Amino acid sequence: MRASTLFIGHASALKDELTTEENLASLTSLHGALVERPALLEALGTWSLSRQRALAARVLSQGQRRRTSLARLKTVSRPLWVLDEPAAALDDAGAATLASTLAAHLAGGGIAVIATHQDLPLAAGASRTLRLG
Amino acid sequence: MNEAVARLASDAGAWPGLAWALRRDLKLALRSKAELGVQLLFYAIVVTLFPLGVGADPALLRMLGAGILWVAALLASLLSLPRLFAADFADGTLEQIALSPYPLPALISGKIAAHWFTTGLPLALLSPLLALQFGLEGPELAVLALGLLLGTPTLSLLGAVGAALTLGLRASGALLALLILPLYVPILIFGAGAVDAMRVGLGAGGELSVLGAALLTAAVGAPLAAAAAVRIALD
Repeated sequence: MRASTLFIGHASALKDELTTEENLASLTSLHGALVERPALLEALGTWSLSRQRALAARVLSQGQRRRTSLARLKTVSRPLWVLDEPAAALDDAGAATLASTLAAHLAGGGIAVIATHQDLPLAAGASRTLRLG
Repeated sequence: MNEAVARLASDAGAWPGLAWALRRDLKLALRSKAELGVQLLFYAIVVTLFPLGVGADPALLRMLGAGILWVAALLASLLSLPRLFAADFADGTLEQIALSPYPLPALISGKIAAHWFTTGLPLALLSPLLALQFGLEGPELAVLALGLLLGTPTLSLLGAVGAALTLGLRASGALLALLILPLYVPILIFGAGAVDAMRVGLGAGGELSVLGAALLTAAVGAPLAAAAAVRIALD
C-alpha cells in the first residue's frame, strides 16, 4: 500500500534550510525513487521553479512552496495519489500545471483522490465528485 | 504504471533508509551551526559552574569531577532532544517519513545517529579538556572520554523514545525530562563509576562493558519503541 501511494498533505514537508532542488531531491529519495538530476530539473521547470532552484525554502512564497511540494508528482511514480487541497495558494498558471499533471496521470491509468475547495478543470468523464457538507 | 519504480520502492531496505535520514539530518544540522554551538557551550558552562560553586579544594574537585561531567552530559543531551522530532512533526516531514517505503525504525535510527554525531560525539571529545579543571589525570581522562563515547549514544537512543512519546504535547520539554532522566540513571552510575574506579586504581573494564552492553540493547530496542511512539503521535 505504502509503495503504491503518494500523499501530499496540507503541510509542505519542506525544510527551510535546504534549497528548492535539495528539498525535492530529499523528498524524492525518501519515497524510495531514484534521484536523477535531469528529472529533478525537468520537474522544477514544469512547475516554473527553475529560477528558485538554488534558493533556500525559507525565502519562498506560499505558492512557490506549494509548487515545490507538488513537483514530486513528477519525480515519484505512484499509481495512487492522495492530495489534500493541492490547489491552495496556487496562481492560475500553477492550477493549470496541476490540471495538466493530473490529466497525464489519469491518462496513464493512475488514480487520484483529491480533497479540494477549488474547481479543478478535469475532463468530465475522468472524474467523479463527492460533495461534502 | 511504472512497475520498475514500484518494485524498487517496495524493496526499499533498512540501510538505505538509515543512510537517507542520517545524511539529511547531518546536512540540516550543519546548515544551522548555532544550535550545535549552544548545546556544547551549555555543557562547558554547567561543568565550569561547579568548581566556582564548591571551591578550589583539589581533593574535593577530583572526587566530584566524574559525577559532575556525567550529570552535565545528561542535561546537555536532554537540552537537544526536543529538536529530534519536533521540527519534522511541525512541517509535515514526519508524516512523509512514516509513509515512506523505508522501514520507519531504520529512518529513526538514522535520525538518532545524526543526533549523536552532532551532540554526543562533540561533547565526548570536549570532555577530557573540561575534566582538566577537576584535576583528573591521563588514564582517567581516557576512561571518561571512552565512557562518554559508549554512553552518549545510549542517551540519544533512550531520549528518542521520550522525544517521540512527548511529540505534540504542551510543556513537552519538562515532561520529557521527567520521563527520560530516570532511564538515564544506570548510564550515569556506570559512566561516572568507571572514572571513579580508575581513580582508586581498580580498572574500569567492568563498567565500560556494562555501558557497551547497554548501548547494544538500546540500539536494537529504542528505534522500534520510538517508531511505535511516532505512529501514535501521527494518528
